[in-house]
Amino acid sequence: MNKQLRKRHRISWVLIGIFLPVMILVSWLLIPQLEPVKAISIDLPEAFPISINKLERPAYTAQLRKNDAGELQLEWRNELPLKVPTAVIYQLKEGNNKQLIGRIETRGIYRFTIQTDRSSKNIVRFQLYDFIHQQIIDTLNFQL
Amino acid sequence: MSTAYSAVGWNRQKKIYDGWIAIFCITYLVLFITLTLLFNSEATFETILIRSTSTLAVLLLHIILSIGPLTRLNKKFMPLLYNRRHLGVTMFSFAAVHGIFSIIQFHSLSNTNPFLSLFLSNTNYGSIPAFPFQALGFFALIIFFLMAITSHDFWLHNLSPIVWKTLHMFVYAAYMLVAMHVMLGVIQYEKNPAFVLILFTGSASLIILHLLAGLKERKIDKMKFKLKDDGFVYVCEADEIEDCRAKIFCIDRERIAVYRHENKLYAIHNVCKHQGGPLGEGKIVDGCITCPWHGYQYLPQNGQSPPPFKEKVSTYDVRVNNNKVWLNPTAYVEGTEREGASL
Repeated sequence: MNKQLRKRHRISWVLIGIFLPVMILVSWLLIPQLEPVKAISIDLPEAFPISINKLERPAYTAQLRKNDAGELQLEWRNELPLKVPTAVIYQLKEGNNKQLIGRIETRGIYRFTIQTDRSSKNIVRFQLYDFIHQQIIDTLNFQL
Repeated sequence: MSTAYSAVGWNRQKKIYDGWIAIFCITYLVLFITLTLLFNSEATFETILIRSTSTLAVLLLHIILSIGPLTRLNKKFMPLLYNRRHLGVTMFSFAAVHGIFSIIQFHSLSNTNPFLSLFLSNTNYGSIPAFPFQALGFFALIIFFLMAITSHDFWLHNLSPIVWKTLHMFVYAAYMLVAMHVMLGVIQYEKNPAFVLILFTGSASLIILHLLAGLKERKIDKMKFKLKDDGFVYVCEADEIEDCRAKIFCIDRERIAVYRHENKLYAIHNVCKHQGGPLGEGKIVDGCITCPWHGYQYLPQNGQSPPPFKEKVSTYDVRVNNNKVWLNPTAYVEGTEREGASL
Protein backbone atom coordinates (compact mmCIF):
# COMPACT_ATOMS: atom_id res chain seq x y z
CA MET A 1 0.00 0.00 0.00
CA ASN A 2 1.15 3.53 -0.66
CA LYS A 3 0.99 6.25 1.96
CA GLN A 4 -2.34 7.61 0.72
CA LEU A 5 -3.98 4.20 0.87
CA ARG A 6 -2.58 3.52 4.33
CA LYS A 7 -3.96 6.85 5.51
CA ARG A 8 -7.38 6.01 4.01
CA HIS A 9 -7.42 2.68 5.85
CA ARG A 10 -6.36 4.32 9.09
CA ILE A 11 -9.08 6.99 8.87
CA SER A 12 -11.69 4.34 7.99
CA TRP A 13 -10.87 2.26 11.04
CA VAL A 14 -10.67 5.23 13.39
CA LEU A 15 -14.17 6.21 12.23
CA ILE A 16 -15.44 2.62 12.53
CA GLY A 17 -13.78 2.41 15.95
CA ILE A 18 -15.70 5.46 17.11
CA PHE A 19 -19.08 4.97 15.49
CA LEU A 20 -19.63 1.20 15.45
CA PRO A 21 -19.43 0.55 19.23
CA VAL A 22 -21.64 3.61 19.84
CA MET A 23 -24.20 2.39 17.30
CA ILE A 24 -24.20 -1.13 18.74
CA LEU A 25 -24.70 0.15 22.28
CA VAL A 26 -27.39 2.67 21.29
CA SER A 27 -29.28 -0.04 19.36
CA TRP A 28 -29.06 -2.43 22.30
CA LEU A 29 -30.31 0.16 24.76
CA LEU A 30 -33.17 1.39 22.55
CA ILE A 31 -34.61 -1.99 21.61
CA PRO A 32 -37.66 -2.48 23.82
CA GLN A 33 -37.47 -5.48 26.11
CA LEU A 34 -40.40 -7.39 24.64
CA GLU A 35 -41.08 -11.04 25.15
CA PRO A 36 -39.60 -13.08 22.33
CA VAL A 37 -42.03 -14.28 19.70
CA LYS A 38 -42.59 -18.03 20.05
CA ALA A 39 -45.00 -20.47 18.55
CA ILE A 40 -48.00 -21.15 20.80
CA SER A 41 -48.29 -24.81 21.69
CA ILE A 42 -51.45 -26.18 23.24
CA ASP A 43 -51.46 -29.51 25.02
CA LEU A 44 -53.29 -32.17 23.06
CA PRO A 45 -56.30 -33.52 24.97
CA GLU A 46 -56.45 -37.26 25.64
CA ALA A 47 -58.27 -39.34 23.04
CA PHE A 48 -61.77 -40.50 24.06
CA PRO A 49 -61.75 -44.28 24.49
CA ILE A 50 -64.54 -45.38 22.13
CA SER A 51 -64.19 -45.04 18.37
CA ILE A 52 -67.54 -44.46 16.66
CA ASN A 53 -66.65 -43.94 13.06
CA LYS A 54 -63.68 -43.18 10.84
CA LEU A 55 -63.33 -41.41 7.47
CA GLU A 56 -60.11 -41.64 5.49
CA ARG A 57 -58.80 -39.27 2.84
CA PRO A 58 -55.41 -39.36 1.09
CA ALA A 59 -53.99 -36.50 3.17
CA TYR A 60 -55.86 -36.92 6.44
CA THR A 61 -58.03 -39.16 8.59
CA ALA A 62 -60.94 -38.01 10.73
CA GLN A 63 -62.30 -40.16 13.54
CA LEU A 64 -65.29 -39.56 15.76
CA ARG A 65 -64.86 -40.78 19.35
CA LYS A 66 -66.90 -40.73 22.52
CA ASN A 67 -66.32 -41.24 26.22
CA ASP A 68 -68.30 -43.04 28.92
CA ALA A 69 -70.30 -39.89 29.60
CA GLY A 70 -71.43 -39.81 25.97
CA GLU A 71 -69.41 -36.72 25.02
CA LEU A 72 -68.12 -36.63 21.43
CA GLN A 73 -64.63 -35.87 20.21
CA LEU A 74 -63.28 -35.34 16.70
CA GLU A 75 -59.75 -36.66 16.18
CA TRP A 76 -58.11 -35.21 13.09
CA ARG A 77 -54.88 -36.78 11.88
CA ASN A 78 -53.02 -34.85 9.13
CA GLU A 79 -50.82 -37.44 7.40
CA LEU A 80 -49.57 -34.84 4.90
CA PRO A 81 -49.54 -31.04 5.15
CA LEU A 82 -52.67 -29.44 3.73
CA LYS A 83 -52.29 -27.75 0.36
CA VAL A 84 -53.67 -24.52 1.83
CA PRO A 85 -51.73 -22.45 4.39
CA THR A 86 -54.35 -22.84 7.08
CA ALA A 87 -57.86 -24.23 7.37
CA VAL A 88 -60.65 -24.38 9.93
CA ILE A 89 -63.24 -27.01 10.81
CA TYR A 90 -66.86 -26.14 11.29
CA GLN A 91 -69.53 -28.39 12.71
CA LEU A 92 -72.57 -28.06 10.47
CA LYS A 93 -75.87 -27.60 12.25
CA GLU A 94 -79.50 -27.49 11.35
CA GLY A 95 -80.56 -24.80 8.87
CA ASN A 96 -77.27 -23.60 7.37
CA ASN A 97 -75.84 -22.85 10.81
CA LYS A 98 -72.29 -23.82 11.55
CA GLN A 99 -70.06 -23.65 14.57
CA LEU A 100 -66.29 -23.15 14.49
CA ILE A 101 -64.58 -25.94 16.35
CA GLY A 102 -60.89 -25.50 15.55
CA ARG A 103 -58.03 -24.86 13.19
CA ILE A 104 -55.93 -27.33 11.21
CA GLU A 105 -52.40 -26.42 10.14
CA THR A 106 -49.33 -28.61 9.80
CA ARG A 107 -48.91 -32.38 9.90
CA GLY A 108 -50.00 -33.95 13.19
CA ILE A 109 -52.93 -34.93 15.39
CA TYR A 110 -55.70 -32.53 16.47
CA ARG A 111 -58.54 -33.33 18.89
CA PHE A 112 -61.68 -31.26 19.42
CA THR A 113 -64.57 -31.80 21.79
CA ILE A 114 -67.89 -31.69 19.94
CA GLN A 115 -71.23 -30.46 21.19
CA THR A 116 -73.98 -32.95 20.45
CA ASP A 117 -76.84 -31.59 18.47
CA ARG A 118 -80.23 -33.08 19.20
CA SER A 119 -81.53 -32.15 15.79
CA SER A 120 -78.76 -33.99 14.02
CA LYS A 121 -80.76 -37.17 13.45
CA ASN A 122 -77.81 -39.41 14.26
CA ILE A 123 -75.50 -37.64 11.81
CA VAL A 124 -72.66 -35.34 12.79
CA ARG A 125 -71.39 -33.22 9.91
CA PHE A 126 -68.16 -31.26 9.58
CA GLN A 127 -66.79 -28.91 7.00
CA LEU A 128 -63.10 -28.22 6.32
CA TYR A 129 -62.89 -24.64 5.10
CA ASP A 130 -60.05 -22.57 3.58
CA PHE A 131 -60.81 -19.13 4.97
CA ILE A 132 -58.07 -17.38 2.97
CA HIS A 133 -59.42 -18.46 -0.40
CA GLN A 134 -62.95 -18.74 1.02
CA GLN A 135 -63.73 -22.20 -0.31
CA ILE A 136 -64.92 -25.50 1.10
CA ILE A 137 -62.19 -28.13 0.99
CA ASP A 138 -64.16 -31.10 2.24
CA THR A 139 -67.38 -32.13 4.01
CA LEU A 140 -67.44 -35.12 6.34
CA ASN A 141 -70.53 -36.91 7.59
CA PHE A 142 -70.33 -39.28 10.56
CA GLN A 143 -73.11 -41.70 11.36
CA LEU A 144 -73.58 -42.05 15.10
CA MET B 1 0.20 -13.33 -12.95
CA SER B 2 -1.83 -12.90 -16.10
CA THR B 3 -1.70 -10.64 -19.16
CA ALA B 4 -5.34 -11.05 -20.12
CA TYR B 5 -8.52 -12.61 -18.82
CA SER B 6 -8.30 -16.26 -18.05
CA ALA B 7 -10.32 -18.42 -15.72
CA VAL B 8 -8.98 -19.01 -12.23
CA GLY B 9 -5.86 -21.18 -12.48
CA TRP B 10 -6.26 -23.86 -9.85
CA ASN B 11 -2.72 -24.38 -8.67
CA ARG B 12 -1.96 -26.66 -5.72
CA GLN B 13 -1.94 -23.84 -3.19
CA LYS B 14 -5.36 -22.59 -4.31
CA LYS B 15 -6.79 -26.10 -4.13
CA ILE B 16 -5.51 -26.52 -0.57
CA TYR B 17 -6.81 -23.07 0.39
CA ASP B 18 -10.24 -23.75 -1.05
CA GLY B 19 -10.28 -27.22 0.49
CA TRP B 20 -9.84 -25.68 3.92
CA ILE B 21 -12.56 -23.14 3.21
CA ALA B 22 -14.94 -25.97 2.23
CA ILE B 23 -14.07 -28.01 5.33
CA PHE B 24 -14.57 -24.99 7.58
CA CYS B 25 -17.91 -24.05 6.05
CA ILE B 26 -19.31 -27.59 6.04
CA THR B 27 -18.21 -28.16 9.65
CA TYR B 28 -19.82 -24.91 10.72
CA LEU B 29 -23.10 -25.65 8.94
CA VAL B 30 -23.31 -29.20 10.31
CA LEU B 31 -22.61 -27.95 13.85
CA PHE B 32 -25.12 -25.12 13.56
CA ILE B 33 -27.88 -27.34 12.18
CA THR B 34 -27.25 -30.08 14.78
CA LEU B 35 -27.25 -27.65 17.70
CA THR B 36 -30.36 -25.88 16.41
CA LEU B 37 -32.25 -29.16 16.08
CA LEU B 38 -31.13 -30.16 19.58
CA PHE B 39 -32.00 -26.92 21.36
CA ASN B 40 -34.76 -25.41 19.21
CA SER B 41 -37.08 -28.10 17.97
CA GLU B 42 -39.58 -25.49 16.71
CA ALA B 43 -37.16 -24.27 14.03
CA THR B 44 -38.25 -25.01 10.49
CA PHE B 45 -35.99 -25.92 7.56
CA GLU B 46 -36.28 -22.38 6.14
CA THR B 47 -35.36 -20.81 9.48
CA ILE B 48 -32.33 -23.05 9.90
CA LEU B 49 -31.18 -22.30 6.35
CA ILE B 50 -31.57 -18.55 6.76
CA ARG B 51 -29.84 -18.48 10.15
CA SER B 52 -26.99 -20.88 9.40
CA THR B 53 -25.97 -19.10 6.19
CA SER B 54 -26.24 -15.65 7.77
CA THR B 55 -24.11 -16.48 10.79
CA LEU B 56 -21.54 -18.23 8.60
CA ALA B 57 -21.35 -15.19 6.29
CA VAL B 58 -20.85 -12.85 9.28
CA LEU B 59 -18.15 -15.12 10.70
CA LEU B 60 -16.36 -15.30 7.33
CA LEU B 61 -16.56 -11.51 7.00
CA HIS B 62 -14.79 -11.11 10.35
CA ILE B 63 -12.10 -13.59 9.29
CA ILE B 64 -11.61 -11.80 5.96
CA LEU B 65 -11.30 -8.39 7.58
CA SER B 66 -8.84 -9.64 10.18
CA ILE B 67 -6.41 -11.22 7.67
CA GLY B 68 -5.02 -7.87 6.47
CA PRO B 69 -3.95 -6.50 9.87
CA LEU B 70 -2.82 -9.94 11.07
CA THR B 71 -0.33 -10.16 8.21
CA ARG B 72 0.94 -6.65 9.05
CA LEU B 73 1.49 -7.76 12.64
CA ASN B 74 2.81 -11.27 11.99
CA LYS B 75 4.11 -12.67 8.70
CA LYS B 76 2.98 -16.19 9.62
CA PHE B 77 -0.53 -15.21 8.55
CA MET B 78 0.65 -14.37 5.03
CA PRO B 79 -0.62 -17.63 3.45
CA LEU B 80 -4.16 -16.61 4.43
CA LEU B 81 -3.82 -13.42 2.41
CA TYR B 82 -2.73 -15.05 -0.82
CA ASN B 83 -6.24 -16.18 -1.87
CA ARG B 84 -8.32 -13.96 0.38
CA ARG B 85 -10.62 -13.17 -2.53
CA HIS B 86 -11.73 -16.84 -2.56
CA LEU B 87 -12.92 -16.36 1.00
CA GLY B 88 -14.67 -13.18 -0.08
CA VAL B 89 -16.57 -14.89 -2.88
CA THR B 90 -17.51 -17.73 -0.52
CA MET B 91 -18.77 -15.25 2.04
CA PHE B 92 -20.84 -13.46 -0.62
CA SER B 93 -22.34 -16.80 -1.75
CA PHE B 94 -23.58 -17.62 1.76
CA ALA B 95 -24.82 -14.05 2.26
CA ALA B 96 -26.68 -14.31 -1.06
CA VAL B 97 -28.33 -17.61 -0.03
CA HIS B 98 -29.40 -15.93 3.22
CA GLY B 99 -30.74 -12.88 1.36
CA ILE B 100 -32.60 -14.82 -1.34
CA PHE B 101 -34.26 -17.22 1.09
CA SER B 102 -35.16 -14.38 3.45
CA ILE B 103 -36.90 -12.56 0.61
CA ILE B 104 -38.73 -15.76 -0.37
CA GLN B 105 -39.68 -16.47 3.25
CA PHE B 106 -40.76 -13.00 4.31
CA HIS B 107 -41.72 -11.08 1.14
CA SER B 108 -42.90 -13.43 -1.59
CA LEU B 109 -46.40 -14.33 -0.41
CA SER B 110 -48.12 -11.02 -1.00
CA ASN B 111 -49.28 -9.21 -4.15
CA THR B 112 -46.44 -6.69 -3.77
CA ASN B 113 -43.17 -7.15 -5.62
CA PRO B 114 -40.80 -8.84 -3.11
CA PHE B 115 -38.14 -6.15 -3.55
CA LEU B 116 -40.68 -3.37 -3.01
CA SER B 117 -42.01 -5.27 -0.04
CA LEU B 118 -38.48 -5.37 1.40
CA PHE B 119 -38.44 -1.57 1.57
CA LEU B 120 -42.13 -0.82 2.13
CA SER B 121 -43.38 -3.51 4.50
CA ASN B 122 -41.77 -1.58 7.34
CA THR B 123 -41.41 2.16 6.84
CA ASN B 124 -40.20 3.12 10.31
CA TYR B 125 -37.06 4.69 8.89
CA GLY B 126 -37.11 7.36 11.59
CA SER B 127 -37.04 4.92 14.48
CA ILE B 128 -33.92 3.11 15.70
CA PRO B 129 -35.60 0.18 17.50
CA ALA B 130 -38.17 -0.38 14.73
CA PHE B 131 -35.80 0.43 11.85
CA PRO B 132 -36.32 -1.72 8.71
CA PHE B 133 -33.07 -3.61 9.19
CA GLN B 134 -33.54 -5.81 6.13
CA ALA B 135 -32.79 -2.82 3.89
CA LEU B 136 -29.34 -2.54 5.54
CA GLY B 137 -28.58 -6.16 4.72
CA PHE B 138 -29.78 -5.63 1.16
CA PHE B 139 -27.35 -2.75 0.55
CA ALA B 140 -24.49 -4.68 2.15
CA LEU B 141 -25.28 -7.58 -0.18
CA ILE B 142 -25.15 -5.25 -3.21
CA ILE B 143 -21.64 -4.12 -2.16
CA PHE B 144 -20.51 -7.73 -1.66
CA PHE B 145 -21.99 -8.63 -5.04
CA LEU B 146 -20.02 -5.86 -6.79
CA MET B 147 -16.87 -6.94 -4.97
CA ALA B 148 -17.38 -10.61 -5.80
CA ILE B 149 -17.97 -10.08 -9.52
CA THR B 150 -14.93 -7.77 -9.81
CA SER B 151 -12.62 -9.97 -7.73
CA HIS B 152 -10.86 -11.41 -10.78
CA ASP B 153 -7.64 -9.74 -12.00
CA PHE B 154 -9.41 -9.08 -15.30
CA TRP B 155 -11.42 -6.36 -13.55
CA LEU B 156 -8.40 -5.04 -11.70
CA HIS B 157 -6.72 -4.34 -15.04
CA ASN B 158 -9.83 -2.95 -16.70
CA LEU B 159 -11.07 -0.76 -13.87
CA SER B 160 -7.52 0.43 -12.96
CA PRO B 161 -6.02 -0.28 -9.53
CA ILE B 162 -7.28 3.02 -8.05
CA VAL B 163 -10.94 2.47 -9.03
CA TRP B 164 -10.75 -1.22 -8.10
CA LYS B 165 -9.25 -0.51 -4.68
CA THR B 166 -11.76 2.27 -4.00
CA LEU B 167 -14.63 -0.06 -4.87
CA HIS B 168 -13.22 -2.79 -2.65
CA MET B 169 -12.73 -0.40 0.26
CA PHE B 170 -16.52 -0.16 0.38
CA VAL B 171 -16.25 -3.42 2.30
CA TYR B 172 -15.89 -1.25 5.41
CA ALA B 173 -19.22 0.45 4.70
CA ALA B 174 -20.70 -3.00 4.06
CA TYR B 175 -19.33 -4.20 7.39
CA MET B 176 -21.04 -1.31 9.22
CA LEU B 177 -24.29 -2.13 7.39
CA VAL B 178 -23.99 -5.83 8.34
CA ALA B 179 -23.28 -4.99 11.98
CA MET B 180 -26.37 -2.77 12.16
CA HIS B 181 -28.43 -5.30 10.19
CA VAL B 182 -27.61 -7.82 12.90
CA MET B 183 -28.11 -5.41 15.78
CA LEU B 184 -31.44 -3.99 14.64
CA GLY B 185 -32.71 -7.27 13.28
CA VAL B 186 -31.64 -10.38 15.10
CA ILE B 187 -31.33 -8.69 18.44
CA GLN B 188 -34.95 -7.56 18.28
CA TYR B 189 -36.10 -11.18 18.21
CA GLU B 190 -33.38 -13.00 20.12
CA LYS B 191 -33.05 -11.42 23.54
CA ASN B 192 -30.08 -13.51 24.62
CA PRO B 193 -27.28 -10.99 25.40
CA ALA B 194 -24.76 -13.53 24.06
CA PHE B 195 -25.61 -12.37 20.53
CA VAL B 196 -24.75 -8.74 21.34
CA LEU B 197 -21.62 -9.88 23.16
CA ILE B 198 -20.44 -12.00 20.21
CA LEU B 199 -21.01 -9.17 17.72
CA PHE B 200 -19.41 -6.61 20.03
CA THR B 201 -16.37 -8.88 20.61
CA GLY B 202 -15.99 -9.46 16.87
CA SER B 203 -16.20 -5.76 16.05
CA ALA B 204 -13.89 -4.78 18.91
CA SER B 205 -11.30 -7.38 17.85
CA LEU B 206 -11.35 -6.09 14.29
CA ILE B 207 -11.07 -2.46 15.35
CA ILE B 208 -8.16 -3.20 17.72
CA LEU B 209 -6.33 -5.32 15.13
CA HIS B 210 -6.65 -2.65 12.45
CA LEU B 211 -5.61 0.16 14.77
CA LEU B 212 -2.57 -1.82 16.01
CA ALA B 213 -1.51 -2.56 12.43
CA GLY B 214 -2.07 1.09 11.54
CA LEU B 215 0.11 2.24 14.44
CA LYS B 216 2.86 -0.16 13.39
CA GLU B 217 2.76 1.19 9.86
CA ARG B 218 2.73 4.75 11.13
CA LYS B 219 5.98 4.09 13.02
CA ILE B 220 7.64 3.05 9.75
CA ASP B 221 6.31 6.19 8.06
CA LYS B 222 7.75 8.36 10.85
CA MET B 223 11.30 6.98 10.55
CA LYS B 224 13.92 9.75 10.71
CA PHE B 225 17.21 9.56 8.82
CA LYS B 226 19.56 12.32 9.95
CA LEU B 227 22.85 11.37 8.29
CA LYS B 228 22.90 12.73 4.75
CA ASP B 229 25.62 12.94 2.14
CA ASP B 230 25.31 14.13 -1.45
CA GLY B 231 21.60 13.23 -1.71
CA PHE B 232 22.10 9.86 0.01
CA VAL B 233 20.87 9.03 3.50
CA TYR B 234 22.33 6.44 5.84
CA VAL B 235 19.71 3.74 6.46
CA CYS B 236 21.34 0.69 8.11
CA GLU B 237 24.34 -1.64 8.30
CA ALA B 238 24.71 -3.99 5.31
CA ASP B 239 24.60 -7.16 7.41
CA GLU B 240 21.19 -6.19 8.79
CA ILE B 241 19.71 -7.24 5.45
CA GLU B 242 19.38 -11.02 4.98
CA ASP B 243 20.19 -12.64 1.65
CA CYS B 244 17.19 -12.74 -0.74
CA ARG B 245 15.28 -10.50 1.66
CA ALA B 246 14.80 -6.77 2.11
CA LYS B 247 14.47 -3.98 4.62
CA ILE B 248 11.91 -1.25 4.10
CA PHE B 249 12.72 2.44 4.66
CA CYS B 250 10.32 5.35 4.46
CA ILE B 251 12.09 8.47 3.22
CA ASP B 252 10.28 11.64 2.13
CA ARG B 253 6.92 9.83 2.51
CA GLU B 254 7.84 7.05 0.10
CA ARG B 255 8.63 3.47 1.06
CA ILE B 256 11.68 1.91 -0.52
CA ALA B 257 12.68 -1.75 -0.29
CA VAL B 258 16.42 -2.50 -0.25
CA TYR B 259 16.99 -6.09 -1.34
CA ARG B 260 20.11 -8.21 -0.95
CA HIS B 261 20.71 -10.58 -3.87
CA GLU B 262 23.92 -12.35 -4.96
CA ASN B 263 26.12 -10.08 -2.80
CA LYS B 264 24.61 -6.89 -4.13
CA LEU B 265 22.04 -4.45 -2.79
CA TYR B 266 19.21 -3.17 -4.97
CA ALA B 267 16.54 -0.61 -4.14
CA ILE B 268 13.05 -0.53 -5.61
CA HIS B 269 9.74 1.15 -4.78
CA ASN B 270 7.97 -0.88 -2.10
CA VAL B 271 4.48 -0.85 -3.65
CA CYS B 272 3.43 -3.69 -5.97
CA LYS B 273 1.60 -2.59 -9.12
CA HIS B 274 -0.99 -5.35 -8.72
CA GLN B 275 -2.80 -4.51 -5.49
CA GLY B 276 -0.28 -2.36 -3.65
CA GLY B 277 1.35 -5.23 -1.78
CA PRO B 278 4.54 -4.53 0.24
CA LEU B 279 7.33 -5.81 -2.04
CA GLY B 280 9.89 -5.42 0.75
CA GLU B 281 8.06 -8.07 2.80
CA GLY B 282 8.45 -10.64 0.06
CA LYS B 283 11.56 -12.53 -0.98
CA ILE B 284 13.61 -13.30 -4.05
CA VAL B 285 12.34 -16.39 -5.85
CA ASP B 286 14.10 -17.57 -9.04
CA GLY B 287 16.01 -14.27 -9.19
CA CYS B 288 12.83 -12.17 -8.96
CA ILE B 289 11.47 -10.07 -6.11
CA THR B 290 8.15 -11.76 -5.36
CA CYS B 291 5.25 -9.87 -3.81
CA PRO B 292 4.01 -11.62 -0.67
CA TRP B 293 0.37 -10.85 -1.44
CA HIS B 294 -0.27 -12.45 -4.83
CA GLY B 295 3.11 -13.50 -6.18
CA TYR B 296 3.69 -10.69 -8.74
CA GLN B 297 7.39 -10.60 -9.66
CA TYR B 298 9.98 -7.92 -10.48
CA LEU B 299 13.66 -8.08 -11.40
CA PRO B 300 15.76 -6.42 -8.67
CA GLN B 301 18.11 -4.61 -11.06
CA ASN B 302 15.41 -2.74 -13.04
CA GLY B 303 12.08 -3.17 -11.24
CA GLN B 304 10.47 -4.75 -14.33
CA SER B 305 8.31 -7.84 -14.35
CA PRO B 306 9.92 -10.60 -16.41
CA PRO B 307 8.50 -10.85 -19.99
CA PRO B 308 5.74 -11.15 -21.14
CA PHE B 309 4.48 -9.16 -18.15
CA LYS B 310 4.71 -5.38 -18.30
CA GLU B 311 4.46 -4.15 -14.71
CA LYS B 312 7.28 -1.79 -13.62
CA VAL B 313 8.23 -0.07 -10.39
CA SER B 314 10.72 2.73 -9.70
CA THR B 315 14.34 1.97 -8.88
CA TYR B 316 16.78 3.90 -6.66
CA ASP B 317 20.50 4.32 -6.20
CA VAL B 318 22.07 2.53 -3.29
CA ARG B 319 25.71 2.41 -2.20
CA VAL B 320 27.74 0.74 0.53
CA ASN B 321 30.67 2.34 2.36
CA ASN B 322 32.38 0.49 5.22
CA ASN B 323 29.39 -1.83 5.64
CA LYS B 324 27.06 1.20 5.87
CA VAL B 325 24.13 1.31 3.47
CA TRP B 326 23.32 4.68 1.88
CA LEU B 327 20.16 5.20 -0.12
CA ASN B 328 19.21 8.00 -2.51
CA PRO B 329 15.43 8.57 -2.26
CA THR B 330 15.20 10.20 -5.70
CA ALA B 331 13.27 7.74 -7.82
CA TYR B 332 14.31 6.77 -11.32
CA VAL B 333 11.67 6.31 -14.00
CA GLU B 334 9.87 2.99 -13.49
CA GLY B 335 11.85 0.13 -14.96
CA THR B 336 15.21 1.99 -15.09
CA GLU B 337 18.21 -0.36 -14.89
CA ARG B 338 20.50 0.22 -11.87
CA GLU B 339 23.70 -1.62 -11.25
CA GLY B 340 23.25 -2.29 -7.54
CA ALA B 341 25.83 -1.82 -4.81
CA SER B 342 28.45 -4.55 -4.33
CA LEU B 343 29.05 -5.74 -0.79
